[in-house]
Amino acid sequence: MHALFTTVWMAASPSEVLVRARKGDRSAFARLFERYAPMVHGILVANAPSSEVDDLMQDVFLAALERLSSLDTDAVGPWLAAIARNRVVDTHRRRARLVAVRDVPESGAPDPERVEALQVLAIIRTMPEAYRETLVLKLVEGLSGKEIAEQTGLTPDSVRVNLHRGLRQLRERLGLSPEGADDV
Amino acid sequence: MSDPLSSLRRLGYQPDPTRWERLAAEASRQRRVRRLTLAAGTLAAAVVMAGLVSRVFAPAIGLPAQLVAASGEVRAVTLTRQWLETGTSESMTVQVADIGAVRVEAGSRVRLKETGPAQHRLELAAGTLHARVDAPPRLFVVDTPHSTAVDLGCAYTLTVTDAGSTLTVTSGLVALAEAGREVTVLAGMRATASKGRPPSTPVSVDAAEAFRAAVARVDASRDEEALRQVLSDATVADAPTLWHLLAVVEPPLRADVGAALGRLVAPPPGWSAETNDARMLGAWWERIVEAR
Repeated sequence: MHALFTTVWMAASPSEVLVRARKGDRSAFARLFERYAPMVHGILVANAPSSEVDDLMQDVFLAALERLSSLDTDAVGPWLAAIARNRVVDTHRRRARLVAVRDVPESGAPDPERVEALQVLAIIRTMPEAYRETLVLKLVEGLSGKEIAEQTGLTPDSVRVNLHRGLRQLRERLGLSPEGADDV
Repeated sequence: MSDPLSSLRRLGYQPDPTRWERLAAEASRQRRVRRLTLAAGTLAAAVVMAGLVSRVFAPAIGLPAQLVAASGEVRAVTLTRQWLETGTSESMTVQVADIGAVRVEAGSRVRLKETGPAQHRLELAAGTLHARVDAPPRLFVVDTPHSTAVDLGCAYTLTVTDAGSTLTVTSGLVALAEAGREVTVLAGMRATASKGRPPSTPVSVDAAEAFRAAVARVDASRDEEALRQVLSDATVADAPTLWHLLAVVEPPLRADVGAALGRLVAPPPGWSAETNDARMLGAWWERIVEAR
C-alpha cells in the first residue's frame, strides 16, 4: 500500500477524517480528497477543456490543502466545488484570447469509443449549467443522485429533476429513445 | 448499436493514490523553499552583523524598508519573516524588489512571507497598508487573517481589524479570495472579508449606503427584496457588482440580474441565464472592464 495510506483509517468517520486532515495528517487529507476527487473532476470536465483538467485538479486541491486548516465549515464538498468552479471562471477570465471549451484532437490512432465519448461530452457542454454538471457527475464520474446531492450541496430533489430532464434532453439530441431518462 | 452514453465512463476520474503523494510533496516542497529562504535570511543577517563580508557581497535579505517617524527621522530597516510593528506615530515604506512599493501606516503589524522571482508575499495582521505594484498578475500577494489579496496590476489600500479585512482599489484590479470564493475588485470599488467566510461582493466606494447594505443582504441571505433594490438602483458604475451576483443567485433570479446588467453593459452574444456559461461570463467581464 502506498505511503500515504499506511495509516489505518478504516474505522474513522468522515468528520474524524476532516479533523485529522485539518491538523495536517497526510493520510487523512488523501482519504478526504480522494472521496471528493470524482466530483471535482466532473465539475472540471463539464466546464474546462480536457487538456486542462489535470492541471486544474492540482490547482484546486493545492488551494484546498493550503486552506484546509482554516476552513470554518464541515461542508467540504460544496467548498471544493466552489473552488473548482472559481478556478474555471478564473481561467476563462484571465485567458488573453477567449476560446471555446473544446478538446484538441489527440495525436496517434483515434480510439473510436473515446472519440464517441468526447462527442457526447461536447453536446453535454452546450446544455444548461444545471443539467451539465449533474449529467457529467452521473454519466462520466458514475456518482449516484444521492452522492451528487451530498457532495455538491444541491438538494436531492434538484439533482433528481436535473438528471431526469437533462438526460431526456441529451437522449433527444443524440436521437435516442427517451426511456433511459427514467433510470435516474 | 451500443448506447453512446455508456462510453462516457471512459472519461471519468481514475483513482490514483500517487496523486496525493505528489500533491503533498509539492506542498512540502513549497514549505521547504520557504524555510530555506528563512534560514538563508537568518544566516545572511548573522554574517552581515558580524561584519565578515561587505554589504556588496551579502545576499539579499528580505525587503529593504524605511521607518519614518513623525519628527521626520528616517531609519533603514529590513522587512523579514519576523513580525514588524509600526509605532503609533511612524509609518514604513517597503520597496518590493523592482515591482513597486508598500506604505504601512502607523499601528500596523506586518511581515514578509516570501520574496523571489515567482512571488512576493506579505502578511498584514493589523493596521493598514497601501500598495502600488506594476508587475504581472499574481506576483504580489498580501495575506490577512481573513483573506488573501492577489495583485493583478494595481494600487490599493488594505485595512485589517479584528472584525475583518477591507480592500479598496484605487487603480487596476485586485483579487480577494477566501473560503472558496474569489472576487475581482476593480478601481473605485471595495470588498470586505472575514475569516472563513467568502469575500463580499465588490461595491463602488461611491455607492449609497442603502445600495451597499442591500448588496450585503444579498450576500448574507440571498434576500430577494434586497436584490430587487440593487437591480433597480444600479448604475453603470455598479456593473461589476451585478456581474458578481450572476454567480451567486439561482437561475430564476439570475435572469433578472442578467437583464439589469445587460441594460448597463450589453451581454456577449449567446449568454443565457439558464446556461450562465463560464466563457460567456468571462467575455461579459471583459466588456464591463472596457466600459469603465
